[in-house]
Amino acid sequence: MKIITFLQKKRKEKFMADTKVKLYSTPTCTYCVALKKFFEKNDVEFEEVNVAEDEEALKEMKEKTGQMGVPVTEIGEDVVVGFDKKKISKLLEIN
Amino acid sequence: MNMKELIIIGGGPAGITAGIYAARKKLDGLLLTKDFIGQLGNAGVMENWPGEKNIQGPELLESFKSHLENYEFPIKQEEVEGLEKSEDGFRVITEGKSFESEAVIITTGRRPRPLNVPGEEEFVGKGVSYCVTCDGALFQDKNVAIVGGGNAGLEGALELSDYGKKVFILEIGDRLQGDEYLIDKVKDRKNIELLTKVKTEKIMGDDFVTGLEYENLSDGKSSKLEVEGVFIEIGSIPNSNFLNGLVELNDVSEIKIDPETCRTATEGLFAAGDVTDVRDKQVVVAAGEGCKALLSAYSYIKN
Repeated sequence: MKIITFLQKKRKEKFMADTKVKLYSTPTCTYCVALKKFFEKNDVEFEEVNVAEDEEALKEMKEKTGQMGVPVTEIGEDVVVGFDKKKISKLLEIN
Repeated sequence: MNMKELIIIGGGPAGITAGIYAARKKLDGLLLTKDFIGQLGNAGVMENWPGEKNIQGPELLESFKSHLENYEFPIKQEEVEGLEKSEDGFRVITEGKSFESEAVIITTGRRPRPLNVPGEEEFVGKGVSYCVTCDGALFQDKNVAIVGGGNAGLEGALELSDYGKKVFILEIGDRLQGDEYLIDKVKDRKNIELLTKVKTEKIMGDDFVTGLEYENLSDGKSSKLEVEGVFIEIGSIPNSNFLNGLVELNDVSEIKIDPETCRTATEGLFAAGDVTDVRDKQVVVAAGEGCKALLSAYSYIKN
Protein backbone atom coordinates (compact mmCIF):
# COMPACT_ATOMS: atom_id res chain seq x y z
CA MET A 1 0.00 0.00 0.00
CA LYS A 2 2.77 2.37 1.02
CA ILE A 3 4.74 1.67 -2.18
CA ILE A 4 1.70 2.51 -4.31
CA THR A 5 1.18 5.78 -2.43
CA PHE A 6 4.86 6.58 -2.89
CA LEU A 7 4.72 5.84 -6.62
CA GLN A 8 1.56 7.92 -6.99
CA LYS A 9 3.26 10.79 -5.22
CA LYS A 10 6.34 10.54 -7.48
CA ARG A 11 4.15 10.35 -10.55
CA LYS A 12 2.24 13.43 -9.42
CA GLU A 13 5.43 15.34 -8.74
CA LYS A 14 6.66 14.54 -12.25
CA PHE A 15 3.32 15.56 -13.75
CA MET A 16 3.39 18.88 -11.88
CA ALA A 17 6.99 19.53 -12.94
CA ASP A 18 6.14 18.83 -16.61
CA THR A 19 2.90 20.84 -16.69
CA LYS A 20 3.18 24.60 -16.76
CA VAL A 21 0.36 26.42 -15.00
CA LYS A 22 -0.20 30.09 -15.76
CA LEU A 23 -2.85 32.19 -14.05
CA TYR A 24 -4.15 35.41 -15.58
CA SER A 25 -5.68 37.44 -12.76
CA THR A 26 -6.34 40.85 -11.24
CA PRO A 27 -5.79 41.78 -7.60
CA THR A 28 -9.48 42.65 -7.04
CA CYS A 29 -11.07 39.61 -8.64
CA THR A 30 -12.51 37.50 -5.85
CA TYR A 31 -12.43 34.24 -7.80
CA CYS A 32 -8.73 34.73 -8.53
CA VAL A 33 -8.13 34.84 -4.78
CA ALA A 34 -10.21 31.71 -4.30
CA LEU A 35 -8.41 29.94 -7.14
CA LYS A 36 -4.97 30.83 -5.77
CA LYS A 37 -5.97 29.40 -2.39
CA PHE A 38 -7.10 26.24 -4.15
CA PHE A 39 -3.73 25.96 -5.92
CA GLU A 40 -1.85 26.51 -2.69
CA LYS A 41 -3.93 23.90 -0.87
CA ASN A 42 -3.13 21.36 -3.57
CA ASP A 43 0.56 22.27 -3.92
CA VAL A 44 0.17 23.48 -7.48
CA GLU A 45 3.01 25.70 -8.62
CA PHE A 46 1.85 28.44 -10.93
CA GLU A 47 3.02 31.58 -12.64
CA GLU A 48 0.71 34.54 -12.05
CA VAL A 49 0.30 37.50 -14.37
CA ASN A 50 -1.65 40.58 -13.34
CA VAL A 51 -3.61 41.59 -16.43
CA ALA A 52 -4.69 44.82 -14.76
CA GLU A 53 -1.12 46.06 -15.10
CA ASP A 54 0.39 43.95 -17.86
CA GLU A 55 -1.32 45.11 -21.03
CA GLU A 56 0.55 42.62 -23.22
CA ALA A 57 -0.67 39.76 -21.03
CA LEU A 58 -4.26 41.10 -21.19
CA LYS A 59 -4.03 41.16 -24.99
CA GLU A 60 -2.65 37.62 -24.99
CA MET A 61 -5.47 36.44 -22.70
CA LYS A 62 -8.14 38.11 -24.86
CA GLU A 63 -6.72 36.49 -27.98
CA LYS A 64 -6.57 33.05 -26.38
CA THR A 65 -10.07 33.11 -24.90
CA GLY A 66 -12.04 35.63 -26.94
CA GLN A 67 -13.23 37.24 -23.74
CA MET A 68 -11.84 39.35 -20.92
CA GLY A 69 -13.12 37.81 -17.70
CA VAL A 70 -10.61 36.58 -15.11
CA PRO A 71 -9.41 34.21 -13.78
CA VAL A 72 -8.06 32.39 -16.80
CA THR A 73 -5.85 29.38 -16.17
CA GLU A 74 -3.51 27.93 -18.74
CA ILE A 75 -2.62 24.32 -17.98
CA GLY A 76 -0.20 22.99 -20.56
CA GLU A 77 -2.10 23.37 -23.84
CA ASP A 78 -5.50 23.84 -22.23
CA VAL A 79 -7.14 27.11 -21.24
CA VAL A 80 -9.87 27.33 -18.59
CA VAL A 81 -12.01 30.45 -18.19
CA GLY A 82 -13.33 31.16 -14.70
CA PHE A 83 -12.98 29.27 -11.42
CA ASP A 84 -14.09 25.96 -12.93
CA LYS A 85 -12.88 23.73 -10.13
CA LYS A 86 -14.06 20.53 -11.80
CA LYS A 87 -12.25 21.18 -15.06
CA ILE A 88 -9.11 22.51 -13.40
CA SER A 89 -8.97 19.54 -11.01
CA LYS A 90 -9.35 17.15 -13.91
CA LEU A 91 -6.59 18.78 -15.94
CA LEU A 92 -4.27 18.87 -12.94
CA GLU A 93 -5.23 15.35 -11.89
CA ILE A 94 -6.29 16.56 -8.45
CA ASN A 95 -8.70 14.17 -6.75
CA MET B 1 -39.41 7.14 -7.81
CA ASN B 2 -37.51 7.77 -4.63
CA MET B 3 -39.57 10.25 -2.65
CA LYS B 4 -37.47 12.46 -0.44
CA GLU B 5 -38.61 14.35 2.59
CA LEU B 6 -37.10 17.66 1.52
CA ILE B 7 -35.47 19.36 -1.44
CA ILE B 8 -33.62 22.64 -1.02
CA ILE B 9 -33.17 24.67 -4.20
CA GLY B 10 -30.23 27.09 -4.15
CA GLY B 11 -26.66 27.11 -2.84
CA GLY B 12 -26.25 30.50 -1.20
CA PRO B 13 -26.28 31.47 2.49
CA ALA B 14 -29.98 30.60 2.96
CA GLY B 15 -29.85 27.24 1.15
CA ILE B 16 -26.61 26.10 2.75
CA THR B 17 -27.84 27.01 6.25
CA ALA B 18 -31.07 25.10 5.60
CA GLY B 19 -28.92 22.18 4.41
CA ILE B 20 -26.80 22.19 7.56
CA TYR B 21 -29.90 22.16 9.79
CA ALA B 22 -31.54 19.49 7.62
CA ALA B 23 -28.45 17.29 7.90
CA ARG B 24 -28.37 17.70 11.67
CA LYS B 25 -32.07 16.78 11.82
CA LYS B 26 -31.22 13.73 9.70
CA LEU B 27 -33.85 14.57 7.13
CA ASP B 28 -33.82 12.56 3.93
CA GLY B 29 -33.03 15.48 1.69
CA LEU B 30 -31.22 16.88 -1.31
CA LEU B 31 -29.77 20.28 -2.16
CA LEU B 32 -29.97 21.26 -5.82
CA THR B 33 -28.06 24.26 -7.09
CA LYS B 34 -26.82 25.55 -10.42
CA ASP B 35 -23.49 26.50 -8.81
CA PHE B 36 -21.99 27.88 -5.63
CA ILE B 37 -21.46 31.43 -6.89
CA GLY B 38 -24.45 33.77 -6.84
CA GLN B 39 -24.33 37.19 -5.26
CA LEU B 40 -21.97 36.23 -2.42
CA GLY B 41 -19.59 34.55 -4.84
CA ASN B 42 -19.28 37.83 -6.69
CA ALA B 43 -19.04 40.02 -3.61
CA GLY B 44 -15.87 41.78 -2.63
CA VAL B 45 -14.77 42.19 0.94
CA MET B 46 -17.37 41.36 3.60
CA GLU B 47 -17.04 43.06 6.94
CA ASN B 48 -20.38 42.29 8.56
CA TRP B 49 -20.41 38.53 8.96
CA PRO B 50 -19.92 37.93 12.71
CA GLY B 51 -16.65 36.22 13.53
CA GLU B 52 -14.92 37.36 10.34
CA LYS B 53 -13.62 40.91 10.51
CA ASN B 54 -12.66 40.94 6.88
CA ILE B 55 -13.31 38.14 4.40
CA GLN B 56 -13.76 37.83 0.64
CA GLY B 57 -17.27 36.85 -0.48
CA PRO B 58 -16.21 33.63 -2.28
CA GLU B 59 -14.07 32.64 0.67
CA LEU B 60 -17.01 32.93 3.06
CA LEU B 61 -19.21 31.00 0.64
CA GLU B 62 -16.57 28.28 0.33
CA SER B 63 -16.47 27.98 4.11
CA PHE B 64 -20.30 27.66 4.23
CA LYS B 65 -20.11 24.99 1.55
CA SER B 66 -17.40 22.94 3.24
CA HIS B 67 -19.37 23.12 6.49
CA LEU B 68 -22.36 21.57 4.71
CA GLU B 69 -20.17 18.98 2.96
CA ASN B 70 -18.96 17.91 6.36
CA TYR B 71 -22.37 16.30 6.96
CA GLU B 72 -22.57 14.17 3.79
CA PHE B 73 -25.89 15.81 2.93
CA PRO B 74 -26.60 15.00 -0.74
CA ILE B 75 -25.79 17.87 -3.10
CA LYS B 76 -26.32 17.93 -6.85
CA GLN B 77 -25.06 20.74 -9.03
CA GLU B 78 -27.94 20.96 -11.48
CA GLU B 79 -30.00 23.94 -12.54
CA VAL B 80 -33.66 23.70 -11.59
CA GLU B 81 -35.89 24.45 -14.55
CA GLY B 82 -39.30 23.86 -13.05
CA LEU B 83 -41.27 23.04 -9.94
CA GLU B 84 -44.71 21.48 -9.90
CA LYS B 85 -47.09 19.74 -7.56
CA SER B 86 -47.04 15.94 -7.55
CA GLU B 87 -49.42 13.49 -5.92
CA ASP B 88 -47.69 13.49 -2.54
CA GLY B 89 -45.68 16.67 -2.64
CA PHE B 90 -43.58 18.36 -5.29
CA ARG B 91 -41.67 17.48 -8.41
CA VAL B 92 -38.47 19.43 -9.06
CA ILE B 93 -37.34 19.37 -12.67
CA THR B 94 -33.74 19.82 -13.76
CA GLU B 95 -32.27 19.27 -17.22
CA GLY B 96 -33.49 15.82 -18.19
CA LYS B 97 -34.19 14.70 -14.62
CA SER B 98 -36.80 15.11 -11.93
CA PHE B 99 -36.81 14.67 -8.17
CA GLU B 100 -39.73 14.36 -5.76
CA SER B 101 -40.13 15.46 -2.18
CA GLU B 102 -42.76 16.14 0.47
CA ALA B 103 -41.54 19.68 1.09
CA VAL B 104 -39.40 22.20 -0.81
CA ILE B 105 -37.41 25.21 0.34
CA ILE B 106 -36.63 27.78 -2.34
CA THR B 107 -33.47 29.83 -1.78
CA THR B 108 -32.53 30.85 -5.30
CA GLY B 109 -31.47 34.43 -4.50
CA ARG B 110 -31.20 37.25 -6.98
CA ARG B 111 -29.22 38.17 -10.09
CA PRO B 112 -28.21 41.50 -11.63
CA ARG B 113 -31.05 43.19 -13.49
CA PRO B 114 -30.29 43.20 -17.21
CA LEU B 115 -30.70 46.36 -19.25
CA ASN B 116 -32.35 44.46 -22.12
CA VAL B 117 -30.78 46.38 -24.98
CA PRO B 118 -29.24 45.06 -28.20
CA GLY B 119 -25.60 44.03 -27.79
CA GLU B 120 -25.83 43.44 -24.04
CA GLU B 121 -26.01 39.65 -24.08
CA GLU B 122 -23.62 39.34 -26.99
CA PHE B 123 -20.83 41.25 -25.23
CA VAL B 124 -21.05 39.83 -21.71
CA GLY B 125 -17.43 39.07 -20.74
CA LYS B 126 -16.31 41.05 -23.77
CA GLY B 127 -16.70 44.49 -22.27
CA VAL B 128 -20.17 44.20 -20.71
CA SER B 129 -20.06 43.42 -17.00
CA TYR B 130 -22.35 43.47 -13.97
CA CYS B 131 -19.52 43.53 -11.44
CA VAL B 132 -17.08 46.42 -11.08
CA THR B 133 -15.15 44.67 -8.30
CA CYS B 134 -14.62 41.65 -10.56
CA ASP B 135 -13.77 43.27 -13.87
CA GLY B 136 -13.04 46.96 -13.25
CA ALA B 137 -9.27 46.57 -13.07
CA LEU B 138 -9.17 45.33 -16.67
CA PHE B 139 -9.98 48.79 -17.95
CA GLN B 140 -6.81 50.70 -17.05
CA ASP B 141 -6.64 53.94 -19.01
CA LYS B 142 -9.74 53.04 -20.98
CA ASN B 143 -13.01 54.92 -21.37
CA VAL B 144 -15.85 53.13 -19.63
CA ALA B 145 -19.56 53.70 -19.02
CA ILE B 146 -21.62 52.80 -16.03
CA VAL B 147 -25.35 52.50 -16.46
CA GLY B 148 -27.29 53.43 -13.33
CA GLY B 149 -26.91 56.35 -10.96
CA GLY B 150 -27.92 54.62 -7.73
CA ASN B 151 -25.52 53.73 -4.91
CA ALA B 152 -24.11 50.67 -6.71
CA GLY B 153 -23.52 52.74 -9.85
CA LEU B 154 -21.86 55.58 -7.94
CA GLU B 155 -19.62 53.28 -5.91
CA GLY B 156 -18.73 51.48 -9.12
CA ALA B 157 -17.95 54.76 -10.86
CA LEU B 158 -15.62 55.81 -8.04
CA GLU B 159 -13.78 52.50 -8.23
CA LEU B 160 -13.58 52.70 -12.02
CA SER B 161 -12.31 56.28 -11.96
CA ASP B 162 -9.18 54.99 -10.20
CA TYR B 163 -8.38 52.82 -13.21
CA GLY B 164 -10.14 54.32 -16.19
CA LYS B 165 -9.27 57.31 -18.31
CA LYS B 166 -12.81 58.56 -18.31
CA VAL B 167 -15.97 57.23 -16.67
CA PHE B 168 -19.44 58.15 -17.93
CA ILE B 169 -22.42 57.64 -15.64
CA LEU B 170 -25.70 57.24 -17.51
CA GLU B 171 -28.79 57.84 -15.40
CA ILE B 172 -32.28 57.61 -16.84
CA GLY B 173 -33.84 59.92 -14.22
CA ASP B 174 -33.28 63.66 -14.06
CA ARG B 175 -30.94 63.34 -11.10
CA LEU B 176 -28.67 60.76 -9.45
CA GLN B 177 -30.47 58.37 -7.08
CA GLY B 178 -27.62 57.55 -4.70
CA ASP B 179 -26.68 58.91 -1.27
CA GLU B 180 -25.64 62.55 -1.08
CA TYR B 181 -22.16 61.85 0.19
CA LEU B 182 -21.48 59.50 -2.73
CA ILE B 183 -22.85 62.08 -5.18
CA ASP B 184 -20.46 64.69 -3.75
CA LYS B 185 -17.52 62.31 -4.06
CA VAL B 186 -18.43 61.52 -7.68
CA LYS B 187 -18.74 65.21 -8.54
CA ASP B 188 -15.25 65.84 -7.14
CA ARG B 189 -13.66 63.37 -9.56
CA LYS B 190 -12.40 65.11 -12.67
CA ASN B 191 -12.57 62.00 -14.85
CA ILE B 192 -16.24 61.22 -14.16
CA GLU B 193 -18.86 62.72 -16.45
CA LEU B 194 -22.51 62.63 -15.44
CA LEU B 195 -25.23 62.19 -18.02
CA THR B 196 -28.75 62.44 -16.63
CA LYS B 197 -32.10 61.93 -18.39
CA VAL B 198 -30.45 59.56 -20.82
CA LYS B 199 -31.61 56.13 -21.93
CA THR B 200 -29.01 53.58 -22.99
CA GLU B 201 -30.22 52.07 -26.25
CA LYS B 202 -27.54 49.87 -27.74
CA ILE B 203 -24.10 48.43 -27.04
CA MET B 204 -21.83 48.19 -30.06
CA GLY B 205 -18.61 46.34 -30.85
CA ASP B 206 -16.89 43.80 -33.05
CA ASP B 207 -14.99 41.16 -31.05
CA PHE B 208 -15.17 43.38 -27.97
CA VAL B 209 -17.21 46.44 -26.96
CA THR B 210 -16.34 49.64 -28.78
CA GLY B 211 -19.15 51.95 -27.71
CA LEU B 212 -22.73 52.58 -26.75
CA GLU B 213 -25.62 54.62 -28.03
CA TYR B 214 -28.02 56.56 -25.84
CA GLU B 215 -31.05 58.76 -26.27
CA ASN B 216 -31.21 62.12 -24.58
CA LEU B 217 -34.73 62.12 -23.15
CA SER B 218 -34.95 65.95 -23.12
CA ASP B 219 -34.70 66.35 -26.87
CA GLY B 220 -35.03 62.78 -28.19
CA LYS B 221 -31.65 62.95 -29.91
CA SER B 222 -29.32 59.95 -30.03
CA SER B 223 -25.62 60.17 -29.25
CA LYS B 224 -22.70 57.75 -29.15
CA LEU B 225 -19.97 57.22 -26.59
CA GLU B 226 -16.70 55.53 -27.40
CA VAL B 227 -16.15 53.16 -24.49
CA GLU B 228 -14.49 49.76 -24.13
CA GLY B 229 -16.38 48.76 -21.02
CA VAL B 230 -20.05 48.99 -20.08
CA PHE B 231 -20.95 48.23 -16.46
CA ILE B 232 -24.62 47.69 -15.71
CA GLU B 233 -25.67 48.58 -12.17
CA ILE B 234 -29.43 48.92 -12.21
CA GLY B 235 -30.32 46.69 -9.29
CA SER B 236 -31.16 43.03 -9.06
CA ILE B 237 -34.12 40.75 -9.71
CA PRO B 238 -35.25 37.63 -7.83
CA ASN B 239 -34.63 34.22 -9.39
CA SER B 240 -38.29 33.24 -9.23
CA ASN B 241 -39.21 32.78 -12.88
CA PHE B 242 -39.01 28.96 -12.81
CA LEU B 243 -41.95 28.82 -10.41
CA ASN B 244 -44.65 29.22 -13.07
CA GLY B 245 -47.44 30.47 -10.87
CA LEU B 246 -47.02 27.70 -8.27
CA VAL B 247 -46.42 30.22 -5.52
CA GLU B 248 -47.63 33.72 -4.76
CA LEU B 249 -45.20 36.52 -5.71
CA ASN B 250 -45.36 40.23 -4.87
CA ASP B 251 -45.37 42.97 -7.52
CA VAL B 252 -41.57 42.80 -7.87
CA SER B 253 -41.61 39.00 -8.34
CA GLU B 254 -40.38 38.17 -4.85
CA ILE B 255 -41.89 35.11 -3.16
CA LYS B 256 -44.35 36.19 -0.47
CA ILE B 257 -43.58 34.50 2.83
CA ASP B 258 -44.95 34.54 6.34
CA PRO B 259 -42.18 36.44 8.16
CA GLU B 260 -42.36 34.18 11.20
CA THR B 261 -42.21 30.78 9.52
CA CYS B 262 -40.97 31.34 5.93
CA ARG B 263 -44.08 29.51 4.71
CA THR B 264 -45.37 30.49 1.28
CA ALA B 265 -49.04 30.55 0.32
CA THR B 266 -48.56 27.00 -1.07
CA GLU B 267 -48.64 24.26 1.54
CA GLY B 268 -45.35 22.38 1.89
CA LEU B 269 -43.47 25.07 0.03
CA PHE B 270 -41.09 27.31 1.98
CA ALA B 271 -38.73 30.07 0.85
CA ALA B 272 -35.86 31.98 2.40
CA GLY B 273 -33.33 34.71 1.67
CA ASP B 274 -33.10 37.29 -1.10
CA VAL B 275 -35.62 35.58 -3.41
CA THR B 276 -38.35 36.37 -0.87
CA ASP B 277 -40.02 39.60 0.22
CA VAL B 278 -37.87 39.69 3.38
CA ARG B 279 -37.03 43.36 3.86
CA ASP B 280 -33.28 43.18 4.44
CA LYS B 281 -31.20 41.54 1.75
CA GLN B 282 -28.16 40.65 3.85
CA VAL B 283 -26.02 37.50 4.10
CA VAL B 284 -26.58 37.19 7.83
CA VAL B 285 -30.34 37.64 7.40
CA ALA B 286 -30.46 35.09 4.58
CA ALA B 287 -28.65 32.53 6.75
CA GLY B 288 -31.12 33.12 9.59
CA GLU B 289 -34.06 32.84 7.22
CA GLY B 290 -32.67 29.55 5.88
CA CYS B 291 -32.66 28.21 9.43
CA LYS B 292 -36.23 29.40 10.06
CA ALA B 293 -37.47 27.86 6.81
CA LEU B 294 -35.86 24.51 7.65
CA LEU B 295 -37.29 24.37 11.15
CA SER B 296 -40.77 25.13 9.77
CA ALA B 297 -40.34 22.56 7.00
CA TYR B 298 -39.17 20.03 9.58
CA SER B 299 -42.33 20.37 11.65
CA TYR B 300 -44.42 20.25 8.46
CA ILE B 301 -42.73 16.99 7.39
CA LYS B 302 -42.89 15.33 10.81
CA ASN B 303 -46.48 16.26 11.67
